[in-house]
Amino acid sequence: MIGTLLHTTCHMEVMIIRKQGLEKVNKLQLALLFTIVTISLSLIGLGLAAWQDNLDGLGYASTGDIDVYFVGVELSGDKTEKMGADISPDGKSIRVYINDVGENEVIELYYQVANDGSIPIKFYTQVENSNLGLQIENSLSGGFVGGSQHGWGYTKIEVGQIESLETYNFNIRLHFQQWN
Amino acid sequence: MKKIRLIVFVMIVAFAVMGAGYAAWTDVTEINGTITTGWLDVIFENPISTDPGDTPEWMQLINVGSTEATIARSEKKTLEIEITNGYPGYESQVTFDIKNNSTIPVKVKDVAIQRYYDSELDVDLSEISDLIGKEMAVGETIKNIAISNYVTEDAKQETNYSYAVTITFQQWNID
Repeated sequence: MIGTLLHTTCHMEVMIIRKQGLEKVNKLQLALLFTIVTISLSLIGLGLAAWQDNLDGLGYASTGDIDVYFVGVELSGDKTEKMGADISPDGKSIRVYINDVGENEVIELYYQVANDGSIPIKFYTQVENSNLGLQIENSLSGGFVGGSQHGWGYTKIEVGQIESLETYNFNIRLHFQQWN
Repeated sequence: MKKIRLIVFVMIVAFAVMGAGYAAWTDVTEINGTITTGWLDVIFENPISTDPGDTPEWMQLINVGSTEATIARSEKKTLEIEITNGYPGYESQVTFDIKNNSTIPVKVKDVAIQRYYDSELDVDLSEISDLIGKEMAVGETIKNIAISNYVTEDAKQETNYSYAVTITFQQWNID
């Protein structure tokens, strides 16, 4: 009886040792397997990914331009034979000369401007060096010139008190800008 | 006694040879599962521009700028807003809808904005940015989302400016 018990006890110990060994092996194998799976999934980029969808909004804004120059000019007055007007080669200015003008005379200047830009334009008038009592009115037909359009301007010059045999210079500067 | 043992032995051998044995009755039931997945699909709808360029003839000399809003491609994933002939002071607004055409609810995960300009444009995208985190039920439509465009005084003539917005939607139940 004692022998049987001893035998059984010894056998159980052996089994326990074997199980512990198996558990160690299993843990190692599991760890190795887990590592391999993790690395493999990382390499192939697999993972839990939520479904996604994208909407794209694309905005483009292109701006226009303004490009104004004189294309024509005419003078009207009592002594047109003694006056003239020339447009500069770049079209940006008009040179006006009036000779033998007398007091209270009225000179009218008609000019045509072209807007080769795409944006409508208007202008305001700035008179410089006017020291001879000139009354100058300047206006643009319709108030503005559309893109790729021509427009007519009108300048009225009324001569005031002037000295005889004198030369007077003045500038009329037109500042064009987008109409708004 | 020996005969009995012999009989038992012979019977055992006989049963073993003929393959007979005691077997319990069994039966099998099965559960067959089929899972069909849905899809996630969010689309643009109803783009409307306040200045599409169809101004009356008497206004065309002045109102030279225009803003066109179109949904590109049949997938309806891209909204293109194109301002033509802009100038300082030009402004327009585009409104559009976003519809959850999916079979599952979605939420707005992210809004990415890229601006390819400095101060030349003033584009208000706040209504899109405010969508982050918003959930959309199946079939739900968010209506009249607005993008405002304004060309500032810093804009240069004959120049192109652009921006891009990407709205990312994700299934509603995963962060």
